[in-house]
Amino acid sequence: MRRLTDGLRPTLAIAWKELQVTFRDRGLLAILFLLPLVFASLFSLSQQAAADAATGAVPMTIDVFVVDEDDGPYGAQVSSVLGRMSVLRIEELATAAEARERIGQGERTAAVIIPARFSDAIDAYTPTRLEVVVDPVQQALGAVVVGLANYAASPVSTQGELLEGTRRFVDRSGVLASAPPEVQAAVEAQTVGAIMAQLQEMQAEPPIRVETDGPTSSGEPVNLMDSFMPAFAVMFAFFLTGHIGQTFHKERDEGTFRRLLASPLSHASIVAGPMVAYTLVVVIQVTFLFAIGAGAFRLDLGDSLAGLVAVSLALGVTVACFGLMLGVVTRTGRQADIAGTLAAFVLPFISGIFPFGGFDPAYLAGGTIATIGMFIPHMHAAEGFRLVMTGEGTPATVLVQVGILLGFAAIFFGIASRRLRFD
Amino acid sequence: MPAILEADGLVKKYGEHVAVDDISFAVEEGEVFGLLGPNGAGKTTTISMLTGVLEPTAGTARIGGHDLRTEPTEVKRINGLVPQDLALYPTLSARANLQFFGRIYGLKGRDLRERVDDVLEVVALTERANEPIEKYSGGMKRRVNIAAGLVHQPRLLFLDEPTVGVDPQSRNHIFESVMKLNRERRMSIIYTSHYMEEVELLCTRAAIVDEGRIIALDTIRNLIARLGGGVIQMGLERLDDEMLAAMRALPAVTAVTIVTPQPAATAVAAAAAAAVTGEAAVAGEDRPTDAKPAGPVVKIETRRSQDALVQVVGYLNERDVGFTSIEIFEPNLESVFLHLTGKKLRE
Ligand SMILES: Nc1ncnc2c1ncn2[C@@H]1O[C@H](COP(=O)(O)OP(=O)(O)OP(=O)(O)O)[C@@H](O)[C@H]1O
Ligand SMILES: [Mg+2]
Repeated sequence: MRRLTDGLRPTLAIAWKELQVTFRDRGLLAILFLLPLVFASLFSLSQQAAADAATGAVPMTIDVFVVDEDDGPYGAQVSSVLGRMSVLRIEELATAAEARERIGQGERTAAVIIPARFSDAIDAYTPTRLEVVVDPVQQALGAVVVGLANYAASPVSTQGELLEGTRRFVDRSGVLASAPPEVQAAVEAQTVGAIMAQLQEMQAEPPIRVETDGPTSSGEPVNLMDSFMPAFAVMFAFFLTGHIGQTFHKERDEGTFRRLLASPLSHASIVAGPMVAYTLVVVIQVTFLFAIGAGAFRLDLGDSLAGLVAVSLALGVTVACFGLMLGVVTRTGRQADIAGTLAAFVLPFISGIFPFGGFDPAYLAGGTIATIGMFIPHMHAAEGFRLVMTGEGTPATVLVQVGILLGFAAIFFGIASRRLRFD
Repeated sequence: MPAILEADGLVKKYGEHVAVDDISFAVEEGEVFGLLGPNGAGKTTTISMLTGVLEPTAGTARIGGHDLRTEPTEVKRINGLVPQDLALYPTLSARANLQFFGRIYGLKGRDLRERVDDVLEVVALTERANEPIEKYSGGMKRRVNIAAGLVHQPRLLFLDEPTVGVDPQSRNHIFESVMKLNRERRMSIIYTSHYMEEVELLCTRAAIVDEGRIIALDTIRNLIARLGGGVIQMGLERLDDEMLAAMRALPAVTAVTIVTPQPAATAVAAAAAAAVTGEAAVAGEDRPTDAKPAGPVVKIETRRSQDALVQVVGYLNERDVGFTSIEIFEPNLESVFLHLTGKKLRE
């Protein structure tokens, strides 16, 4: 035991150093943590809106009922703010009861109900809340309505900044550069809505009560986040590979590698240290994305924490070993970076982890893409997550994917440590 | 005294190119041993093999009684390496760097802390130890670079040009630390440098390496004594066999060799033009073997350089031959080096 920990110590020392270096790299952190979040939310919201547009009548709008049971000025203000939101198509109803019933029949996504004496309560500083009734089939869009209602009901300062921030990001990232202005506006409003919904949930005394209503028979609620978030998590985990490869070259070019080789470290430790570190980075990254996904976008994580952990760890090890291999087989840091970035962009799509059209990842449909996917670690990681999150998997089927991932990792590790040399 | 290091027939080939060609030498325990040589001589390659960074193509070494090939781990525990280039993690603090380099040698806990504090003190960086290294000056970085090779208390320290590109103040400091390590801790040191005055002052013995081979190995004193009385290197307007014979016959001159032969007619013209504009003096500071468009260059070995200079200049006046450059190398390691290799140490 003593000998084992002594043997591990140098590996852990390298891992710790690697983590210190990684977490001091702000640019990398933004790519690993912020970018996937923004991508995932923009992408899935715009997809959701597009999907709804395909089935609904007017593109890029959410149909809501507004019931103003209040006769005072605040109720009128809220309903007029909601009315001015271009993404919402509003029909005013007279009573909450009617709204509930028609939401239950699936007529609209949600109903915002402004209670009687809303204005009086506000003037008297007594707690009051808006009520949003959401069709369970359209929970994701419902969440957007909740957020927008929150936005309409509360003082505008922070929300204004949020909207401004979102707009600037959308402009700068060019994600939606080619989309028509109404789509851009919709995505913007929906992103704000989603974030506001999250804020609302985090408040101890939320200004809105959310009620999910309607017939349970109308089918599974569809949340595109469920199909996109795992794919994005896998995709962005692989963005680390370019960095890992580059770090390896930096180490060699800057001579610190000489020190490592001159020390009593074994070659295995020199490769295993970064492997441990980057596995951990991926696990942190995946945890972060899934936590936000679950919190802000109602991502369904399933009910097996062990399963999630197992797949995340296997993904982490695979990413780490792939990065190390990239470092060893390329000639320069730049090459490693380019190869890593290319792999990170291309492999997710040819492995079919993103839905093409429908809601399910493309590889599930079988055919060529599934065959190619079999040979790409991305598919196995995404499938592992899907099996856990949908509850379709059993421990055995999840472990098969984990095993395959570890197989990939072992091959990459073997190549990396075999070909590791200085000259 | 027992040898801490015995290198035995070390060879390193890069494809066809032989970087180190059959090098053997021994270093005694407690000795400061110099490795001198021009750029590309093979110093770093030799050190890399001895520290286990590179695998020798042939040959081996015994360090502290352990064979480099069969007991690399034992050898690596004895060795400390200060690479020629800064080998540190720039975004980490000096302390974090040193802790890391201690840990990979198995240090931990209080031991590690004490060792790190100790080496920080050796290089006088205790006060700024917690700042990221990228904010340090060049000289301070160099000092951390040295400290990183010391954390695990090596018995044999390899210093590969530790003072290159360092301001005089830091250089003195490094210099003193090295002497202290050797005297107070009896650390054996292998030191490479282009600065002869450092080697003269620090090292007891030195090997002069050129083109992958050791061409001389002796105490500094003996190396210098070999040369006698200094070397004059002189660029001439022209040169013929008669002049050569006459100069060789001068009493203070022991030998005259041609460094750059008489160039073709056009080159002579260019050299003459250069001499007029004063460029030859600049060229003279450069590596003499470089085929600059200058006149012939001769190397004059002397019994005493001043006497020889008077005689040679007198003779040239008599013959009405001008000279384009004169350099005098008083007997020191630098001139020994020039004498042995025909090259200057620094280019
Ligand atoms: N990785 C390599 N591949 C091919 N040739 C190399 C490699 N490393 C060094 N060499 C060659 O080996 C020879 C010796 O190089 P080395 O770095 O040992 O010289 P050095 O004496 O340390 O020079 P300097 O004083 O410039 O540091 C040089 O000709 C160099 O070009
Ligand atoms: Mg060198």
